[in-house]
Amino acid sequence: MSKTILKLEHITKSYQDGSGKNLVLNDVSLDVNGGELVAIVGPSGSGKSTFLTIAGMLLSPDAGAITINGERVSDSKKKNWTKIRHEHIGFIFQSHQLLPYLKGLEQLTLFQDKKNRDKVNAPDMFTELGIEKCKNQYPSEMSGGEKQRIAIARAFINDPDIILADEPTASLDGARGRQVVEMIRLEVKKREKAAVMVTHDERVLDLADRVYRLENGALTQNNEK
Amino acid sequence: MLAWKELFYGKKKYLLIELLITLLIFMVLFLSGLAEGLGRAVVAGIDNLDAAYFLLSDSAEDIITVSNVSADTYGQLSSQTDGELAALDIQRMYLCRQNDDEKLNIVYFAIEPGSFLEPKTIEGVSLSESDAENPILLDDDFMLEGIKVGDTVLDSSTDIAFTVAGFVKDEMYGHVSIGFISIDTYTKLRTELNPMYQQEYHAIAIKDGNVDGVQIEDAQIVSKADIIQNVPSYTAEHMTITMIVWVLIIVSAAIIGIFYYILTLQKRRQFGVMKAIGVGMGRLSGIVIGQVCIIAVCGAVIAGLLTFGMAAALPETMPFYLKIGNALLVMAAFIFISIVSSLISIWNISKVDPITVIGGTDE
Ligand SMILES: Nc1ncnc2c1ncn2[C@@H]1O[C@H](COP(=O)(O)OP(=O)(O)OP(=O)(O)O)[C@@H](O)[C@H]1O
Ligand SMILES: [Mg+2]
Repeated sequence: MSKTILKLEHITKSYQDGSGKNLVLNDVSLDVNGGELVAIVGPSGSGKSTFLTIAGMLLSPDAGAITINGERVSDSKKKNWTKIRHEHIGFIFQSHQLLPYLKGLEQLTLFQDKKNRDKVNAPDMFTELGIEKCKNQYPSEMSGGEKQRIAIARAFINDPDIILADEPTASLDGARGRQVVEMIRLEVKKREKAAVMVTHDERVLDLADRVYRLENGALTQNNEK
Repeated sequence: MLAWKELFYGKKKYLLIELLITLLIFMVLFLSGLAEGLGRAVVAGIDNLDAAYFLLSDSAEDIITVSNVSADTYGQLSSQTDGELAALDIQRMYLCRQNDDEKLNIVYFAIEPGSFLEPKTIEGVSLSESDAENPILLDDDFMLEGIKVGDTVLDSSTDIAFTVAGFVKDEMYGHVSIGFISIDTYTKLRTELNPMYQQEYHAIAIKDGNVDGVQIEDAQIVSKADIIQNVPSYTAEHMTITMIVWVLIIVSAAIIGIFYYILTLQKRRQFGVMKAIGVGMGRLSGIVIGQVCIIAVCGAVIAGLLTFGMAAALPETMPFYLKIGNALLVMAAFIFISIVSSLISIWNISKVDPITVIGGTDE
């Protein structure tokens, strides 16, 4: 059994909502191990994105702790968050969010630290994800699935500890969406990353190792699997 | 790297901006050339003199044309400084061509022929080389009046005849073209007007050397820069035009800043993505400053080349004068202010919250 990489403990978060408080996350905990893909489902507005932004060091929780690889990152100052994200976290967004002015390979290499070049080889990732032909194309010349696969490769490029994906298949049709999640799974297994994926797409849940449902501020594991 | 890639990808858009910026800097450089040219029309004659200091009378208050120092001061001064000396008289008069009543404005600069105050001729011979009785070197503007080397011209108030020995370039004082004559000729002129004339000079020029120990009664050493500052109307005119030029520099640099700011607003999402994936503000600021630098430097260089190309093609009478040093100063100021004005873009980027990228659908 691989060790726990991402540890979220007793996360609570509420938003100011007009007069009252909107409690979105109520004492939520989650552990994710290396090489594990966890899926989170739940109704719209249940706080899935909120949960992911907290895990991704983009938003601070009202209470609770975040530990990445044994380091309690939730204690660090906000100005260090960019560095923490850079070193530990890879994001895959709902739409690819590639920069329009960079060619496929540049989307990776221009954001890769020198020291990670040996660990993660950008051209190899293109081969693994079956998008070799996109190396020298601008995003405007690629299909949606190709762009999203480059976005996946980008998430891995600096050898992060955890991968966070918010509805990575939302902009793709069923078959392409499934392919993209398969790619995420492939890389997560191969590189022993801890991955959390928020999704609405029931058809890809079988690719996840564990499935959780977020509802009314609480996270419960789906028992079907 | 990123900075350049983006400019390259958006070639069309950025080339248009570049064109605008280039035209703006060109306008600024051109105006500052004209401003300097107009200023030169006032003081070029003094500025061109190869002297570091001048001895003026105390009462002149640094205004060279109202100064007068007696002839024997020359001897006193030469015993007190190791610098080379030369006497100078300046007199505004009118000149006539032979058989023509039209009066032409002229300022006589009376010098010792062969002294360091004598300018190089661009045509004809120098005062000392000429064997005419009263030789004169005229500013090349007089060429446009149809005067040629060897012509005889008359001083309109005394009818003393000068022979045009040669022409010199860019010699003006108080918007009037200069004619260089010898002190001897000048003395003849003055004696003709006033038989009691006692030889005196407006100033004694000191080429270089040490002037610290100079102590002469009723006279003082004034630097060339101070004399130029005190040429009547020069400072006021020059300041006005210089101010216009600087306002234009600031305005055009601010225009780059604003343009860039608008582009930044359109790219907030991209910056949000980069922040989310862990690109720090340091690198983002580098991209902004890099792009603004590229735009500003290219614009400045192209505009500089254009301006100097244009200056070469301008007609002689245009008072255009731009030293490379001044042009570089204008360009550097422009680039600097552009970078400063790009700080508002950087500030705006620093306010972008990367959360907006997560869970967002809009694109
Ligand atoms: N910045 C905010 N300020 C106030 N309320 C917010 C803010 N962001 C989110 N909320 C509220 O918090 C709740 C959870 O939002 P969140 O985006 O996490 O939901 P979600 O599960 O990702 O929904 P979806 O499936 O539609 O993406 C919603 O009710 C939303 O209105
Ligand atoms: Mg969401």
